[in-house]
Formats: sequence, structure tokens, C-alpha cells
Amino acid sequence: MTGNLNTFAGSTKNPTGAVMVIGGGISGMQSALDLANAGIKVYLVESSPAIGGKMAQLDKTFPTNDCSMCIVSPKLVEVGRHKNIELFTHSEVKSLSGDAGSFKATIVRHARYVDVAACTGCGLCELVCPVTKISYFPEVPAEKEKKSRAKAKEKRLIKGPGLPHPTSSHKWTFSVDEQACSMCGSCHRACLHGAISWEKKQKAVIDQDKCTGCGACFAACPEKFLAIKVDGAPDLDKSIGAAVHARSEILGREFGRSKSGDSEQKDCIRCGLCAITCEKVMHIGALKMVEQGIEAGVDICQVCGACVSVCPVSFLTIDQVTSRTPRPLLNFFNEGLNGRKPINIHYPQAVPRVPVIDAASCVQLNTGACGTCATICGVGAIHYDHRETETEIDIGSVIFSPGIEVFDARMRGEFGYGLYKNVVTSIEFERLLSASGPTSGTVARPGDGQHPKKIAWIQCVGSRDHSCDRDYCSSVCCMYATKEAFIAREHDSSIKPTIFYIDMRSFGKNFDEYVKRAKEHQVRFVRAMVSRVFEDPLTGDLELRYVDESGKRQTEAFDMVVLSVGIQVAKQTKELAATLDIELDRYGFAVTDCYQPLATSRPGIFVSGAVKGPKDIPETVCEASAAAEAASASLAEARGSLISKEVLPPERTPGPDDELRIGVFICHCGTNIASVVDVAAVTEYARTLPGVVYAEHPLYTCSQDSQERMREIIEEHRLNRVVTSACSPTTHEPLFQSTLQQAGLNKYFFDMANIRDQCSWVHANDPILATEKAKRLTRMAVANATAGEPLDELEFTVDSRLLVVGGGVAGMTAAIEAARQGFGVYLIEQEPVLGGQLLHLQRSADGRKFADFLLSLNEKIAADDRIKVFTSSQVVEQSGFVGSFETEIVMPSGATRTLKHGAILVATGAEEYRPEIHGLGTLDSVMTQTDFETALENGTAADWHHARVAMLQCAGSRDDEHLPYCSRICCNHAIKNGLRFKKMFPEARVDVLYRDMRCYGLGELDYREARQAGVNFIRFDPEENPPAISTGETGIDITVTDPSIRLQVRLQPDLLVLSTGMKPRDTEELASMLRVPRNDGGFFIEAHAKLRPVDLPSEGLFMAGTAHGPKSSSETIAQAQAAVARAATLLSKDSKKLSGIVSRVDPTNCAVCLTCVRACPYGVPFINDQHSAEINPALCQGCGICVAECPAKTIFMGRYDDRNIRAKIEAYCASEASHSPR
Amino acid sequence: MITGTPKPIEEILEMLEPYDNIIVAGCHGCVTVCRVGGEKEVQVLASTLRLAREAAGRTITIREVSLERQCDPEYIEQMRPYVGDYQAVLSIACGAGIQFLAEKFTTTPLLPGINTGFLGVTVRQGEWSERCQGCGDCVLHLTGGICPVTRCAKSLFHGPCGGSVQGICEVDKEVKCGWQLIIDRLKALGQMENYGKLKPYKGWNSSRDGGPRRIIREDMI
Repeated sequence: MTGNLNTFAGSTKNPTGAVMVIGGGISGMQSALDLANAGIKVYLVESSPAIGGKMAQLDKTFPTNDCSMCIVSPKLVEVGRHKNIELFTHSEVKSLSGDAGSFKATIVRHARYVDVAACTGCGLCELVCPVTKISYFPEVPAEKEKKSRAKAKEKRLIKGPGLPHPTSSHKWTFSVDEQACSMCGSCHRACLHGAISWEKKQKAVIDQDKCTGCGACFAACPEKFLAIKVDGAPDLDKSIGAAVHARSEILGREFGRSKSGDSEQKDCIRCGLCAITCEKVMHIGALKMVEQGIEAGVDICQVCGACVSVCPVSFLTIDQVTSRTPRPLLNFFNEGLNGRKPINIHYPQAVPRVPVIDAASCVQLNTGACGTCATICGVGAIHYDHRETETEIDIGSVIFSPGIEVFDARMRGEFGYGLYKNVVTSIEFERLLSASGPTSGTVARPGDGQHPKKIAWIQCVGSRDHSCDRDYCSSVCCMYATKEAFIAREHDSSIKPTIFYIDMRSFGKNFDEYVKRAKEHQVRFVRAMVSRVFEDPLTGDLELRYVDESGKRQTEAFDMVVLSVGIQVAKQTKELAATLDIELDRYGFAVTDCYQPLATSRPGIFVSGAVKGPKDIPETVCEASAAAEAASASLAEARGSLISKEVLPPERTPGPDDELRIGVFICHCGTNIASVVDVAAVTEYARTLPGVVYAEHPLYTCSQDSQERMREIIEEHRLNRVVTSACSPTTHEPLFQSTLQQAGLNKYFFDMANIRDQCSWVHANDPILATEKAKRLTRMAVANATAGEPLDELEFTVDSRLLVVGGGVAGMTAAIEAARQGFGVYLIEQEPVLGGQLLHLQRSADGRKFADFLLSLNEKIAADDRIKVFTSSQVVEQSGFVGSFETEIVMPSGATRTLKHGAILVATGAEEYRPEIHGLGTLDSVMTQTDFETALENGTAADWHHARVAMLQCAGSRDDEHLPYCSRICCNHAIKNGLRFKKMFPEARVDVLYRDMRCYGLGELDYREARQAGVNFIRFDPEENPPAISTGETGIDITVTDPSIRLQVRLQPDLLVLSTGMKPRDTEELASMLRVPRNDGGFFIEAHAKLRPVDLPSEGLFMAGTAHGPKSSSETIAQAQAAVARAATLLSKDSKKLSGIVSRVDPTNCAVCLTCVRACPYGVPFINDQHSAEINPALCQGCGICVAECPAKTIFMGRYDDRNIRAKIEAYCASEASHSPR
Repeated sequence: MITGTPKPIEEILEMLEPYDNIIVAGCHGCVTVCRVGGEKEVQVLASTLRLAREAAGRTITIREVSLERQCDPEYIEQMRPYVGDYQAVLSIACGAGIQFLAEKFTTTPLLPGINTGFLGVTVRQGEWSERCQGCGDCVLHLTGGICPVTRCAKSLFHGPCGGSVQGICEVDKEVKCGWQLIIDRLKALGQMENYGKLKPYKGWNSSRDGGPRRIIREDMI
């Protein structure tokens, strides 16, 4: 392939400083953030209603068991709030024209029917929407044609176990409008309680004493008269649908309706809500109240499900009211495991948290009836007249990261997915585990809701499978299955999980340890491929058949089966790729070059994530940053040209004697808070608190207009403190603080009480006490705001140069890319020449010589005067902080030189491990894979036409006596060498002795090719079946049991090639100088295993390449680019502002006891020459540990001082006295 | 604090006989307070040594160093970058500090520049007196705040011995009888009943008798 290869170092003239990122999963979000934070405008296009992608659906993540949602949601919020990221959700790219540097794209925004800017995400619309099914809508009459209702021809009586028990609880008052009454008598006939007196040619009169308020009259009064009036119905001012919902809620609570809609009461309570809904909301009129229950016109029912959803008791079911088959409306975020409403917020933490109306199932959009959601929306955000819109955008580059979908398990019919209810896919199981999933985190069988005890995972469903054209390995399934098994046991320790697998591909950093831990937690691993699954139709249990390792046929029963489905490229993605004109391979994965892993076949379009080949989250995040770098390098000159900068008014500085002027905002949050907490009472109470001069209770404090109003109020009332009692500070505090800043107030003069998550939501059944608690929380926040002090946010200039330590392929790539981004680079290498480990390797995966590649890198480095190379040099001292580092290096002359720079990139690499085993180093016939590759390359292998070669995998890897970890590359390396050898010498023989072939991703294709080429693979187990190997001058002799034939095999090869793995270079001194941690293996530890894979824990420090862990050259190049992207977010800034919340030492009481020095996880405090601890505010992360630990109590942190805590506690206790007199 | 006294300069010079290039290391902890091993003493001692060696016709190079404390590894590590450049380190910290230096810098000889004294108090400027022996089982609440282990020459636990004459210990006329002090104090406090509460014997297992001691605080590790 050609394409981007030629544009690698080039840059177009006058490029557009914007990038379109396609796909809002973790990949797209990371790319967008890295670009936007480096001054590039981003248009993020996502086809689903909210960003988050697959990661948002996952329950936990391996290998740390972090909650997926908890770690991804800060990213969601950051993307949603970023001023330089324009979100196009529920949108698609229609076309792309132009060339790299100046593309034009057309984006189609599908009709959402909800105004994203106005919506506050309160979720009321979804709550009131009565529709739960995909309706069979009656035909809409053509224009001018008279509307006529269908009349029921087929009627069915619905009865409960007993007769109806009419209730008058919270009844509405029905009366006859004498003006409108046309004396037809319909109401009289409909009334089941004899409450309506009527005679021919007389107007009807309702006897309120007899009336139970069922509304039969209301439903029966013909449409042309509408003579029955309703009074005393809450929310009737909004709409009849809203009123029905309100009464249904109250009655539901009264009759003990559970969340799932079940109640003890099985008989009709004749509340009339179903009939009223069907007639007045849906305009169908299929239901009628009769003596024995409800009479349903089953032929005219549109099967929308509204009657069932408003029924406050367990009386109506959908099957009873219709003769047609109800079509469930499934929640796709929950993988169809439960239902949804036509108006739906994609998931609870969605960004934007704005619902979308499904045009296919919404009654209003199809028949014009209902429309309840629009009437309940407090901000008028719902617009049924929305239409699809097109937007044209100018961009310089495109990042293609649409992600993947899971394999359709029905293609493997033998496992019964789709037929047997208790066979689920792994992604469905994730939703079952998730606390916000369909079962609220209870592990339950979809078939009967029972708690399964024995669960089986079947691996490689739609992976490594030639029969269904999924030859590749999906890379993530071994680990996610292990994780799911592990977590399932965490949910219910009586669960006995079993994983059926072929090879355990736990090749990533710390993955083997995770599998080991899972085994300790009684996760059973069985190396076998399951051939069939049979369901016991009575119990729903499943019988699995497989052949075990000894060759015996086994059957075993399980309660539930999880299919570890592989990942694949969706059809729509392939179509989109065609629109973009980029090349895909036969499976749909984007084709890239191994030296430019992010570039697609079309210049200017880059790719990241699993659409480039299966990969896990950290690799995806790393690639996303790398793609951001690749996409922006040629746009560097346009950096900052299209982004907006916020200009803030000067801050008012309150004097120490200024009177307190506190403004309090008590939020309704729609009805989230106001339906439980009496917000008016809390507001009234807040006014009485000392210092409060203003209080109000907005419907949504966070809405755009409320924020504008807040700004005006701050100015008008000269407020100098602001308190909001609303939702969670984690999500909303930054918003309110920025409003304070816009009003010229220091943002730390703010405090927030969470009266939603911590009050109204948890005390829904006790409004009185909830209101008291809200008052108390508000008082504490007011007290804390009173104690608040303005905090300075230090600003300093950022040095735009980058220091790269290590001149291997990672360091060289990083240097070239950073220079392309416009930054100066210092490249330090301890050896006399650049190239690192690649100097010892021969050819890339596609057969090109590494020497040529290194040559081109060297040329680029030499040609770029922004890069200063220091070979034979070493770092000896390092000081400073993010944005302003100073590093001293020793040059070959012995002279030292101090370099100033803004960021550090550690790319110290790794080397081949050479253990003294099996005669390596002493015998010519024993060598490493690298030696073997060199021999093949240099022709020393000329006489190997009939040679017999044995390769020993994990020779010194996954071995506690040598390297305890998996070196990841060795399996692919052995296959590459084996294949090359077989091609050169077809008569020769290769036997590979392995434990698990870890040919992840597309490497599986080579594994298959190698087997087809005649390379033998013999599995061994170091404990149960270790090969006996003897080597000496007389020859090599290997005896091993081959499990596939269950016989002992004796090999007498001419050569023994050891796959010895990788070990990091000695970085002990460097690590202690930079104060960065390394793991037991000596690899650097990233700031976050999942989401910050190239960041080191200290700010301004990044890493790339094999210093992080073993990886291929292509992965190393991507990581180097990723590290540059991360550094660019820092180096592209002129100055950096530090948080005001940092620790500060008062030297007066410092005992230089070193406690803070020892306690700080970031190694920031130090003892200065004034005999006091000192904390550099530029380095402090504001975690507060030192503050808590300091024995002299002489460390302080703004906003979290004793003063603040005490103010809150005192405010809390003050109420104890007033509310409970003792 | 831990107290000490300077070693005679002759003794130090003799120790330094083999060396021409040394570090004199002081400590900002206790020995600074009792004026035997602080920054000032480092300078004075270094100057004295230079003069003496110059007079003897054999100059010596001395690097003057004062660590915050020689009993915390972090401070000791500050010396690591250059300690190898010197033949020896003369420490004027307490015995604990000197030993800790020796433990950390295994290839450099460590020499003591002071004689470490005791855990004591400053009676007045220039006079220090011992108060605690760190027996590991404090009884001061029963003895009127006066330590029988330290203040009684025999560390008796049952009251004064026959050598107590008019409140003076037989060991030295300058030394008051510890038990006399205790009883006088208990009487003054009205706590004579405490006298009877004392254990018939003291367990010395928490003292030095169990070999070098260590303290492990699980809550801080």
C-alpha cells in the first residue's frame, strides 16, 4: 500500500486547524481530547445518541477490576464540556471531499426531537412516556380526509382472579359541562356505579357521592361533545397524559407496585387510567370498563403498551388487550435484555444526557396522539417537528475510529444462542453484572430469573474460526471471560465458573497475574473446545459436550452459558469506509503500514481502535492518542487558529471586613428533588441563615438560562459567596464555578450541597425528613462558603521543548513527530548510535528490512534542526516541574550540559533476555530467535536445506526463576522465523514447543499459515508435561508428550532456537531521579493501567515503547506517537495554570520529620535549606494526604482546612440542638 | 535529647592519621541543641583539623556537611552522590547517626567525632543531666514523675538502699538519692499510696536485656 507513506513527513500548505473524529467510543474521545487540548478544533461524530461506546457498556475492566463506568465517565464529562469539541451525536458522516489538510465533510444529524442545548437531562419525559411496545399504528388518513376512528369488531373480557375493587383514592372530580352536553346519555350508560342521572333530552348530572372517579363517563363522552370536565387532577394543566401518570404513580405507591411493575393486588381497582389513556391520550378507545373488569377491543388495539404501563396494579397484561403479537421495544444499550420507552436517554451517565425519540415507536410522531413528554418538559426541549439536518464542516484531517460490534453468535448454531434463553453473549453478561444494567447487577438467568450456580464460558465464538470467516483472534476474550468469571463470583460467591478455552492468551501487562488470581478465586479453566450445547427444556439447564485433554468425551451440565463472542467490523462501518475511500482487509479491519500504524490508505485519514484490528482498552487509548498526533502533525501550523478562548472579567477582591453576601440556589432538578424535598421551604430556611442575602429555587439550576441568571444575580446583589443545593459536585461544580468566574468572583467562594443523590433519591419515601436533611446540608454548605477564602491559581510559562530519553525506535519516532508538531527536541542516547534494539533485529512483519527503516529515521532526524541529538550521553540530574524542567546530561567528553524543557519522554527500551539455559552462549547449536533471524538474513544458514529446528517458547519467560511475565512478542516472532525458514528451505523441519500460542489479533492468520506450511506445534506444560531437553556437543535430544496424539515424541534437532523474551534496560538510577515507579519486572508503571497508558504518574512525564512493557515495533511506533500527542497537550500551551487546591507548608511549626516526604504518592515534598518541608505548588496534585498526616498540623490545603471542616461540623451540630431538645 | 561530648582533638587526629580527604558530617538534631555536632561545630572542628594537619606538615581536605538528621535514611541519601569521593567520614552525630551512616555507606570508613552521652535535659546553659534510660516500661505515674531507673544509681525499685544518707547517694556527693526525691515528691503530692503499688520486681525484658530493640508501628507502615 502507498497512501500516507509519502505524506509522513510532509505537511500541506495552509491546512485547516480542525479534525473530524468519527466514533465517540473511548478511542474517539481520547483522540478528541488530545487534539482539543493541543489547540486543534474537533468535530466528534457519533452515530448513537451518546458518546461512550462499548466501554460504557462494560461492567468492570481487567486487570485491575476497576469499574468501567467510573473510570470512563470523567472522560465523558470532559468531552461533553470541552469548548473546542463540537459533538455531533445521533449523526453520521455522509460524504467527504477534498484532500489532506483541507477536507470538507457533510454530517447528517438525524432528527432527535429533543433540543440538546435546552435539555437538562432530568429524565422526566422518559418517566412519563406510557409507551413500552412497538405499536401497530392505525393508518393515518390523508390530508383533508376525515379522521375516523376504527370500531372494535372483536371484543375480549379481561377479568382478574376476583371482581374489580373500585378505588376512590386520589380520585379526580368529574362533572358535566352543561354548555357542551348534548344529552346523548353515553355517560349514563358507561357509569357502572349509577352515579349519573340522565333521561332523554335532559342533560346528565353526576352524583358526586356515588361517583368513584373511574372516569368511565369521561372516556365515553363522544369526541364531538367533550362534555365531561375533570377537576382536582394534579398535572392536568400540563396534559391528560401527565395527569394519568401522576395518579398512576400515587396509586402505584399505595398498592405497593414494585419497580418492575408487580404488586400484590391482582384484581382491577377500576381507577380508569387504562381506559382514559387509551381514549384520551392515544385516541384509540379500545378499552371499556365493565362490571367484571375491562373489555378490550382487541382488533383495534395498537399494542403500544400504555394501558399496561399506567395500570397501578398487576391486573392488565399486554397479551390480554390485543389479538396481535406484542413487539417489545428493546433497550439496545442493555443488549436487548430489557425494554425501553420510545423517548430514551441512552444510559444513565450518557453525554449528552439528552434523550432521543425513536421515530418508529413514538405514538405522537406516527399518529399525532399522546405528546405527553412535550407537556411535562419544564424547559420546552421537545420538538416533534425536528427534521434531519446536514452540516458541512472544514477539516484538515480525519480520524476513523468507529469501533466494532460483537460477533453474531447465532452463526454458531451448535451453542443454541437465540434458541436457549440461558445462553447469553459475553456483552450481555457484562450488562447483567452492571449495577446500572437490566438486573441492577444481580446475576440472573434471562430464562427464569434464577440465580445460576454453574456458569460456563465458551471461548473463541467467532474468533480463530475459519468456518465462519473469522480467522483472526479477537485478543480480548480470554481476559474478559476471566474477568467476568472473577466478578460473577464477587457478586455471588456460590457461583462456580468454568472457562473452556483453546489457548490462554493473557499476553498483556500483568495479565498472567490476573489469570493466576482468578484461579485462586476458584475460576476453573478447562482446555477444550465445546462441541455442542443442549438445553433441558424443563429446567432450562444446559448440557455441554466436549473432549477433555485425555481424549475422553465429557458431558457436563451448567445453569447458564456465556459465549465469549469475538469482535468484528460492522456492515455500516464498512460502508462508511467506502464513503471515505479507505482500504479495508477482508475482515473489514483498516489496512495500515507497520511503520505508520495509524495511517489509512487515503492521505489525511487516520485510524485508531479496534477497527484497525482487535485490541483492548489501553491499546485503544494509546492508539487514539497516536492517531491524534498523526492527524495533527501536518496541521501544526494551524494550531490554535480555530479554537475559542474564554475571556474572564477581572476578579473582585473582597476586603477582610466586607459583609458576607451569600446567594443560595436550591435546585428542583425538574422533579428529581422537588417531588420529595420541599424546595420552597428549604429556600425560605436558607434566607434565615447568617450572611445569606439572596435565595431562590430554579427549576434547573444548571440550565443555560439559569446560569445566565445566576451570573446576573451575583452582579446585581453583589454576592461574594454562592451556594447551590443540587446534585453531585463531581459533575456540576465546575459549571457553577465557571459562572462565578464569569461574574468576577473567585471560584473558590463556592460550595455545593448534594440534595439529590444524597437526599431526595435515597429518601423518596420520607419527604418531611428529606426536607429537614436538605436544610441541614444547605446550612453546612453555607457555613463552608462563609469560611471560604479566595485561592490563587498560579500561572507560569511552559517551555515547549521535549526531552526524549532513549534513542531507539520509540525515541527516534517521538523526536521526529514532536519536531513535526513544532516543538524543539533533545534526544539523549547512551550508545554511540541511534537505533536501540532494532539494530539487532532484521525484518518487519511484512518483510521489510529494519536497517532501511532506521536509515530513513536517521535521515529525518539529521535533516530537522529542531532535533538536537546527544549520543553516548546520559542523564545525571533532573529538577524542576511540569512545563519547566531542567535536566543535566553528561556528554562523551565528560562535560555536563543543562537542558531546559517542558516535558520528558522516557523511551529507554528493552533488550533480548539471554539466560544461560540449555547451553545458550556455549553451544553453536543453541541460539535465540534473534540470533536465528540474523542467521537467516546473513546467509549463514546456507546449508540448512534439510535442517531440523526445534523452537522452545517461554524459554525464560513466564518463569519465576527468570522473567515472571509473558514477553508478548515471542510467539509471533517464532512464527515469523518459522515461516521464513520453511519458505527458504521447504524440506527442513520445524517443531515449536509452546505453552499457549499467543498470536493475538491478526497474528492468528500467520499462525494458521505456519501450520499449513508444515510447522509442527507441540504443546507442553511446565508442571505436568515438561519437555526433557538435553543439549551438548554431541547433539540435542528432546523428549516431550504431544497432547494432540497423547504419545511421547522424541526430537533430535540440529538447532534449538529459544524464545527468550524481553527484559527492560537498567533504569534504576533514572527512575529514582525522575521519581517514577517501576514494576517488579523493571518496566515503568503507567499513571493508569487503562486510560493513561503512556503517561507516567508525575505530571509532564510520558513513556513509550518497550520501557513500558514488551511489544512489537509497530506497537512501539504507535506508542511513541501517542506519547508525543500527550506531551503536545502540554507543550502547545504558552502557560499553565495550576489548581488553587494545593498543599502549603507553614514553616513555623515544621519539625522536618519527613512524614510528608514519605507519605506523598507523587514524591513532591522536600526539606529545603531553611530547615522546613516545602511543597512545590506546581507539582502538588492536591490529594491532601500530607495534610492529614502532618504530625505538627502545619500543612494546609485551601478549601479543605480544619476551618472548613469545623465550620461544616458546627453547622451540622447546631441543628441537633434545635431539632431534638434534650 | 541525646547528649554528647567532643572527643579530644588528639584522639581524632590519631583516627585521621591514614586519611587526607574526608567529610566532617554534623547533624541538625539533638547534637546541634547540646552544642556538640551542629553546623557550627562542624566548621570549628574542620578548621581545627586543617590547622593541626597543616602544622604537622600534612594538609587534609575536608568537606563540611550538615545533615538535617543522621537517623533518617532520606537525609543520609543526600550524601550518597559524593561520599565515594572521600576516604572517610568523621561524624559528630550521636552513635545512632554514625552507625546508620556506616550502614548505608558500606565502602567508606566511618569515624566518631564525639562520645555520645545520654538521654537528658539541659539543666542550664552548659549543663546536661540524664533523665531516661529508655527501659521500655514507664512507671513515672507511680513515682511522682521521677524515674527510679535513671535517678537511682542502682535502678532499685523498692525504695532507697542503705547508701542513702541525708538525701545524698553514696556513689557521689553531687548525686541526690533518687528514692529520697521520689518519696519527698509523693508526700508532697499526697500520693504515698503509690509507693506500695510498685511492682515487687521490674521486668527488664523491654529494656536492653533482650538485645538491640526495635519498634514496629503497624499503623504507620
